[in-house]
Amino acid sequence: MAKFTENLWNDLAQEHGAALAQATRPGPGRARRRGLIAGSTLVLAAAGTALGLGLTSTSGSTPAGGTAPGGIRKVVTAAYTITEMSNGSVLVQINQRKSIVASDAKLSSMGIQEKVAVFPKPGAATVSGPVTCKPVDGAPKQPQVQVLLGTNGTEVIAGGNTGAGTWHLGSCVVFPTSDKGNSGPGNTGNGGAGG
Amino acid sequence: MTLPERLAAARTWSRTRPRKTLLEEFEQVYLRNVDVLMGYFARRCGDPHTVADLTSETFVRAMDGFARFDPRRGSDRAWLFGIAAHVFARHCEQSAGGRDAVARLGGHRTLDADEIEELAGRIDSEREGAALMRRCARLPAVERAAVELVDLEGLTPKEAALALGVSGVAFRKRLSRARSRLRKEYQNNG
Repeated sequence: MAKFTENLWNDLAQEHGAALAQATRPGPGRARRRGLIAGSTLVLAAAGTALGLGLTSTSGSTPAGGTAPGGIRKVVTAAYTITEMSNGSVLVQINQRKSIVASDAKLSSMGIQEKVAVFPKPGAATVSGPVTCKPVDGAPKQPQVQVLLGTNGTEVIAGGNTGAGTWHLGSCVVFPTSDKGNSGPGNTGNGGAGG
Repeated sequence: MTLPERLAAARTWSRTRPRKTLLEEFEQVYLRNVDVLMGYFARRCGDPHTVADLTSETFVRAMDGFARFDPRRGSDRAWLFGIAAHVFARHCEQSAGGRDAVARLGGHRTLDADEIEELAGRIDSEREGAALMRRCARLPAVERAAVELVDLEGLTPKEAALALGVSGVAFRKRLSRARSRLRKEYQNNG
């Protein structure tokens, strides 16, 4: 993508992406049935990085279950790892280039009634570790959801459809399943304070 | 497999099939169309900032209305051209048109030198199209739009009719009339 079109898309996604990611198209001849979207939905709201991560395709791997050190349940695939920690929080580790949709489905099946939107930003991460998602008004406070890109949050995400460059997880927010979404950037991510 | 079993399997598949979010769908729509829409505005405006603003406004409106867009009724390109036509008409009516998009994107985003150069290059590459549009200047606006959407943008008459909000029959008449006028003009000018 050329620079202008890439920057425009990033702006559009940043400002309007979360709402559209949560929206559904009404079916033929009937009202929108939001209730069909059960469980949680994990979406990438900043399109530039969403593309760069290549998270729109589904993972072909079968989730492997198990118990993680410090966790009570762990689901591992090539695309993502979801760990329910012993303190009740949930860690979603996105392993790049695979399906966020698949991790969404898995979160749903785990009964987590939250939708998560992550907002990646260009540039290198300055802080390592997972990013704690900020619940918007009305969103459940528990379980706390954290998202980690790669193994420690500081990896360079190779350019895919984002265009070349370095990206990091800028922020993360949690919506209730009944919410249309919020375009707010949420908690500061791996860009450091104020990022 | 019995019918009840097949129905149960279909319901399970329907529940578990990973679906694209509308944002992901719109992303593909954007990627397919952003270049042609930039060209549409580049043929009309000589200023890179105006092209940027009008392109932005079109996609902001499209993003706002994407949940209501029904792909079964027509192509996304036709739908976007319909929005672009409204955006440009409004821009013509109000000299400050297009600024709303910038405001809605959270403040004026200053184009950097690379972006200006990119947009200026795009305007330059549309010179031939702009020249054709000038030749169409004597046509009524509706006929000019018909020629542009079909002969320059490559939309089918059905798609172009949808973009302009007219019936297929009316559109074909306009297109036929416009081409006939252009042909005559070309012949008269040797």
